[in-house]
Amino acid sequence: MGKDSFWKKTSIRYTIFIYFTVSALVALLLSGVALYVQMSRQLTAAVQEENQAVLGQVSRSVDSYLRTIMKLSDSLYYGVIKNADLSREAINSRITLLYDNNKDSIANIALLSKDGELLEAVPAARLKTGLDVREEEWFGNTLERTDNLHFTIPHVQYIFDNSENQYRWVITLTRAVEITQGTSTDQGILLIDIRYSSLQQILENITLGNQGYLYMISSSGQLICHPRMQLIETGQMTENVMAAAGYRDGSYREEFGGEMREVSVKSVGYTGWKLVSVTPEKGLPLGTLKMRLFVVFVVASFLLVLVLINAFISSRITNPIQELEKSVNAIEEGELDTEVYTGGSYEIQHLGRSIGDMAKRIKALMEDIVTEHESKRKSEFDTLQSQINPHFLYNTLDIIVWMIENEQKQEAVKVVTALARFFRISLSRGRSIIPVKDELEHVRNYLMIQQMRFKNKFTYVIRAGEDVMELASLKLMLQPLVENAIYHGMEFMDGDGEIMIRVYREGEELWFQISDNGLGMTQEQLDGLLSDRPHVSSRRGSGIGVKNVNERIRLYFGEHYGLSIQSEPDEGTVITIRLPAQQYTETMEKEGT
Amino acid sequence: MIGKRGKATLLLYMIFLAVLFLMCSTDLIIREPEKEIYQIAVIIEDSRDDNYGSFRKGMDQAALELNADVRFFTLYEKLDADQQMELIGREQQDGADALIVVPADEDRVVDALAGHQVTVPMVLLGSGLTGEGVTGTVVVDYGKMGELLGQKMAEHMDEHRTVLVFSDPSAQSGASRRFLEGARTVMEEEGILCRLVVRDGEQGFKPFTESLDAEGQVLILAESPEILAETAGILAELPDLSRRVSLYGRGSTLPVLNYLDRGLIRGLCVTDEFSIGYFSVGMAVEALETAGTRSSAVMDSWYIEKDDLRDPAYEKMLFPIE
Repeated sequence: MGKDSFWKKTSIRYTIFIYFTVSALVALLLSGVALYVQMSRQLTAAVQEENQAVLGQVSRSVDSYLRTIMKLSDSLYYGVIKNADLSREAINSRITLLYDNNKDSIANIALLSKDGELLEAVPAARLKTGLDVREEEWFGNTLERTDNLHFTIPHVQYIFDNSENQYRWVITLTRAVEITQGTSTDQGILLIDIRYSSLQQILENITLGNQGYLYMISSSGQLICHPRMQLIETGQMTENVMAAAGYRDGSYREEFGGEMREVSVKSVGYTGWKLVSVTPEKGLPLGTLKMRLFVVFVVASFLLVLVLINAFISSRITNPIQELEKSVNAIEEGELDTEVYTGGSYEIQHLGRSIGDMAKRIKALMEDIVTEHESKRKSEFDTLQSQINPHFLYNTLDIIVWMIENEQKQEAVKVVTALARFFRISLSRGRSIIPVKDELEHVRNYLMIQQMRFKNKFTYVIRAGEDVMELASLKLMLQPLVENAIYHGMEFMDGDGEIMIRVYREGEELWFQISDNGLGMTQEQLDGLLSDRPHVSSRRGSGIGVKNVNERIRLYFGEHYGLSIQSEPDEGTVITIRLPAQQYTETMEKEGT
Repeated sequence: MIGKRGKATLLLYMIFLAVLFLMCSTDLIIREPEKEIYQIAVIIEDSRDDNYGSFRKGMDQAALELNADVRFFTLYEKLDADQQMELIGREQQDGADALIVVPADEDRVVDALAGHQVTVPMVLLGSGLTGEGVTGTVVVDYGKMGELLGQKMAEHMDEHRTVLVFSDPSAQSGASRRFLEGARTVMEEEGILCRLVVRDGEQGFKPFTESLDAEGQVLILAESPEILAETAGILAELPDLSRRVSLYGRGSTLPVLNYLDRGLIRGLCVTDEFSIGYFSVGMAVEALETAGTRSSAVMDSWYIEKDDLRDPAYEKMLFPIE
């Protein structure tokens, strides 16, 4: 209900604007979100690609580093140990030479017999007292799989007696070797301790954008190198190593520690170690607050442009409609001559022309109606005026005949003269409006005739000032009223009747007052007087009813004018007529006659 | 075309866009956090940093991650509170943003804090001091550590039920005092007699140790890592005696760990020194970034023997990776 009333009150421009803006906003948001998602994906893909490239490079570096160590082990084995008879020749100097060439990355080189005896060590060292290296895990593994090179995870080298107050983190490479001592050949183990710091150097300067880092794990998920390795190993921090150990080479998205992050994995050649790059999502350029605000800014700017364009479009569409509405409002208020707006688009132009044509047709129809109405009014008027009963004429003529037969020639002449004047004014060249003086003359003639008919049973007085004589009056207005006074008031009255006609002007109004001292009328008679039926017998009266007079006044002068009757039984009757005070000549000019 | 209200809305929207632009494209409203380098001074109570090897590694790690420039100071003379207070004042004047202090004299530090002589955040190490001016504490409960060692020693005790306590009251730190109190409390509850052996001037504990000729088991408790290493060094020169002596103490300095590895020390109480260094710098930076937030960390203690050295968990803790 409320929604309906809202739209009813809303202008078409606003409606179009709202619909355009909302649909544009939806489209904008959808495209913005799609763009953002696409950008995020592309950025993520770019980051993953870059991480993979970095990982590939680091992997090659680590692989190359480890291969150098493996080549060293090959050189030690095939170049120094394999062909040497340890019972006869010393190999320490040759091992030392190789050690010196690689001492930046090598901490110890040692040759152990399968019984755990230290045969050679560079730099010079001895096994810890009471230590049985055969119990070391690497020792067993090496002898178990003699074809392989074995790498341990980082550890503190423990087997050598360390008189210095220092410790070294190393990764131990071991391999099974053949040791010749005299005539016997036996298995032994070549041990190379790789300095952990040298491996660390390869990884420590790698940067992966904002907050990104790289670490390395063994195939079983043990940390080999991590920027926060110490904190992780002592339980102060955690890393998702077990998940990373399960990943194959490639890129992944994972949630760890309550944050999303992009992870790329790359295996390192021989060892099966895995390099893992981690880029937290919040470290990506699109994840920053400023970048998100920038996206909002772009969307908001587009929205502003859209709103302005929509406002322009909606005004272009609705301006002609509003102009047309103004024209329709003018027509609605009766200004049918208003020029109807016919601009804008084709439809609006067509509508404007149609409304214009319609207004013209309405105007023509209204003019026709007015003409028809005028014609009808005139016709009615004429009909009313022609309702003078022929009996009045017959009776009058009968009186004249009676007067002539009784030698009352003078009276007969008077009646004939009065009758002639009566009819002359009745005709008045067909005019409806006559001067007051003619109307008074007309009623005077009528009263004179009736006075003779009723043998001077009543008297009459007509009072009118000169100022009202040239004012316009309705023809045959007073005669029916006087007739009514005679037949109702005087006919059955015992004494002499008196009829007074008074005409006067008050401001812009002209007043007629017809009073008698007759029998008066009851309310029923008053009602009947204003009814359609003739109140005087058609055989005796003129046939024009009081109501007829009232209707004619209203028909001609308007609803504000007409007559009113005050009457009391045995008191007499006063009929008052109210007309506009208009000069007869002016009225006739208006009438066009 | 646009009404008054529409113009006002448009103007507001334009202002909103301008603000948004300033927020996303300039540093006027949203300032990217600048990587400020915090100057942090670490002042210990000792004249040497032998006991702070792992601590310094943790400190360096935190400094790297948290963008701090950490300066490490030792005293000319161990437990010289005057010099320590002088250093605290000097470092503040030299622009230190925060201080990490191992108090030489806790009362002096309390007085300095109460007298508002310290105007920068201060993190105290090894001390449970709290109150106005103390930004954070990294506490090692040496009393509890002593209790732990006392219990282990009681378990290893034979019928002699006597422990020699090697102490140096003239250079006894608060940590050593609390450690000894904890150990003695437990041992006395177990009915073990604690016999105090005080350092003999220049000669230290050597004369007394060499004079130990009694048969049977000898249990020695050293109150500090220095005394522990010194005693282990003496025993290293007396192989016959060392077989009968069970030496106990605290600390994780390399000499001490080497002596443990060589069997000259029977048991040790250790703590995670690396984490202490890391947390202390972390607390100082946190205090600088959050305007004096107070925090506290209590470190655990462990009892280890020779075989535990190769346990991967202890290996990483005792021999931190650089």
